[in-house]
Amino acid sequence: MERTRAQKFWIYVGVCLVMLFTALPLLLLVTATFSSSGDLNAKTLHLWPSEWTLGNYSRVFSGEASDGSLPPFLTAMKNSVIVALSSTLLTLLIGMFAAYACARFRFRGRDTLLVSILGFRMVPEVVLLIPLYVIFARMGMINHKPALILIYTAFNLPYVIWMMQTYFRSIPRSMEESAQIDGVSPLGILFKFLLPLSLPGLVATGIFVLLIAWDEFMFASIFTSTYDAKTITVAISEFSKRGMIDFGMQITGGFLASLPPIALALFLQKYIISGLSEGSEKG
Amino acid sequence: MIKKLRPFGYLLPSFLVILSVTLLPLLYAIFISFINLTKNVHKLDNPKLWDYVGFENFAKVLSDSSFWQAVGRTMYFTVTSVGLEFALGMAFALILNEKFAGRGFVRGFMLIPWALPTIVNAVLWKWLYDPDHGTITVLLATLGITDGHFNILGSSFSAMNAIIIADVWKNTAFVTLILLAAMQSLPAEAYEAGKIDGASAFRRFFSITLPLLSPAILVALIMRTMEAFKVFDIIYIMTGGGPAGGTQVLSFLTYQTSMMFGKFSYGSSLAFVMSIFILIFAFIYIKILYKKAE
Repeated sequence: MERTRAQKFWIYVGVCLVMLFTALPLLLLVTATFSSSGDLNAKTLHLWPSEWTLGNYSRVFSGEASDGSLPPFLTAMKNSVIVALSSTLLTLLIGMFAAYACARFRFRGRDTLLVSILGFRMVPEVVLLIPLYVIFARMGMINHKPALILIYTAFNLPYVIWMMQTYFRSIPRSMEESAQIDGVSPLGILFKFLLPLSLPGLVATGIFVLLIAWDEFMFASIFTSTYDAKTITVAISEFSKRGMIDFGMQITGGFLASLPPIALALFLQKYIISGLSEGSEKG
Repeated sequence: MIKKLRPFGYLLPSFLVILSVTLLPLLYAIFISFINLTKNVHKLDNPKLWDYVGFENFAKVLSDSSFWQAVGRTMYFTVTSVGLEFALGMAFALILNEKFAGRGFVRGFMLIPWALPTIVNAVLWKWLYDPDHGTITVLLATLGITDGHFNILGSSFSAMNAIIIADVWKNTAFVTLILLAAMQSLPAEAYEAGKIDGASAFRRFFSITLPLLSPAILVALIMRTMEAFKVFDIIYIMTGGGPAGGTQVLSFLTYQTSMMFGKFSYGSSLAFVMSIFILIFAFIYIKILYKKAE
């Protein structure tokens, strides 16, 4: 649609407002990581650091976690990477088969099953916090990474099954049918046809699940207590110096911990947009 | 026979995970909420069937004034933050749907707050509101809007609204993302027809764009509503439910009751009562999705 000059002017005003809304808090975040504690603790207005320093960064990368190998920050990042990646891969792997069953096979109760899968997605996590804590505490699984991996897998599985089956359904059956006649096995059809054709959807779904696992705090705060399993969100909430919260460390660690999800979100922005619209239109 | 069993084989791994980590724990939670289970500092009591107390825990929840206050606060948080996120998200999507130089960059850039982990967002805003050094606190005092340094997170009303602002800053991008995706699939003809009819931009928005976007709007609203109703992380970091319980929302009340005070059974009943609210949202959501799938 062609716009008049005046309309174009107002569009650019709007764009500037969107940019300001987004950029101002981000700018304060980034400059805070390079500020000295003097600037951070000043009682006067400091929109810009009076001196740029890497003090916060050196504190984030110093010290030793309880296991003695890496600084606490890096240990927590490592734990988060292990937990988020394992649970994402596990969820995609087992969810993919279930989605295939729902998209390409007829069986009794399929529609009921799909609705109840979506229903499980709606159960507020806090309901499961207590029973899972009691169960895992009895099994001695508290403070072990597999407990968190299993929990995140179960929480994200309904979403993955639902999304993957909508992608599979959007692929026309004609090619598979001729392959079927040629004697390709059902698993062969999944791996040779459906998965390659729905790769963008698979990647978008995976990124979504990864972001959720990386972001999770409530369960991580209960199911981890030492750096054997503590994830990055829990570590950031606890960064302190002599019993006082160390804001410089929190914001700097937080900034570094935000870089992977920001990179993923930007890199796959197109996938996410098409993935979400698929979900909202076909889901 | 084998052919008929095949789909069930594919479903089995997912079924086992959901059964063991969602379904059985859910039944266990129901059991816990009908007994009296507490956690001491050193040991976890054995859940016993003969501790059955019937609906006592649920009755206590419903007659507890702190529960109803938490319901009110959660509702206020949900309605206000989702309302603001929707209004801003719609405005942003309309702007970003236009043609302008650097559009790809702006669309990517505006996603960054949404990609920040909730904990990081909470840490950032807690510092901006800090009573002594926070940029916003100092700015308000410098501009003479407040008389000296006002402790924003120190009184219930301002603390709750300050948390809402922090939440809106992060989650507006999500609403924008969904609405923008939907706008891109709108038929151009509808607009052109409206233009030929001489309809004003306002009328075109309300009588053409809005109705065509309504499925996406509903999805965005309900997804955000369900998330906002479960708000936890940002409260935990920014106020810990304070001041004097002024930002005590349902998730936090449940967490505190069960995990900090060790009242597992009472906490579990609280969680179930809270789920009823969520189930209502979920029911509407599934209805909408199902209608469209047909």
